[in-house]
Amino acid sequence: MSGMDLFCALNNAEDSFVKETLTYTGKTKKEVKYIDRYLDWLQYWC
Amino acid sequence: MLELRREGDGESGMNDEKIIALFWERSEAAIDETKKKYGSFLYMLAKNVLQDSRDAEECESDTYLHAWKSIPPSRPVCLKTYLAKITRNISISRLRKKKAQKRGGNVVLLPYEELEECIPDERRGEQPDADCLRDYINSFLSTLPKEQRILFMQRYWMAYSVQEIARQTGKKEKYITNHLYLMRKKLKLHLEGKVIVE
Repeated sequence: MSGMDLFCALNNAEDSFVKETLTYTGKTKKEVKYIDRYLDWLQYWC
Repeated sequence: MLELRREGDGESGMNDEKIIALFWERSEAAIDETKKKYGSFLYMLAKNVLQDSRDAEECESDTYLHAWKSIPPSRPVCLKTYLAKITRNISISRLRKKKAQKRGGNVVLLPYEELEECIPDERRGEQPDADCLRDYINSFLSTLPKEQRILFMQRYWMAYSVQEIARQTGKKEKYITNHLYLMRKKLKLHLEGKVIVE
């Protein structure tokens, strides 16, 4: 196994982890706080 | 040169469910809408992996073709994640070919080279098979605090440079480098099976 194999195997990361990364990537600190608050709210009510 | 195509450009397009419905109706507008909404993001992801604009554009186009062939029968829960996984797979295949052709060349491979540190010593036992590897990776990711996990994924899933992650997160490069180092050590322990997962 090589580093490239491992890099490739990361494509099997659960969709939830990928989605989480895509949600937070490229966001400002303020936007991250807003997303966190929104997700907390969703978790509380749903 | 300033990179003008940035992630996030154009992501305010058609709702994902409507785009998926277009794919199911075999309407070519599905490709146009996907490109409008996620084109910049997919290009950026391919460019991070391949470090080459022309290759990234071709991978972006191949992603639309692959999505066209796979939806239906697939009905993605999250279209962005689905497309990103396709782009990443295609980009890695292309990178492997480039790497084979340009052995000893100047292809930038840093994220994958860093992951070499995580590979368990072959002399110590069997290497994990594909299913085990997937489980180890997911159990490793689930043990990380959210902020660390996102950092790890930005570097080793999205292939962002440390500088770019530092710019995006507002943290120092040294902070990013140190945390990535610690996470690689932790991943190695997982791959060696030294971490018991309940």
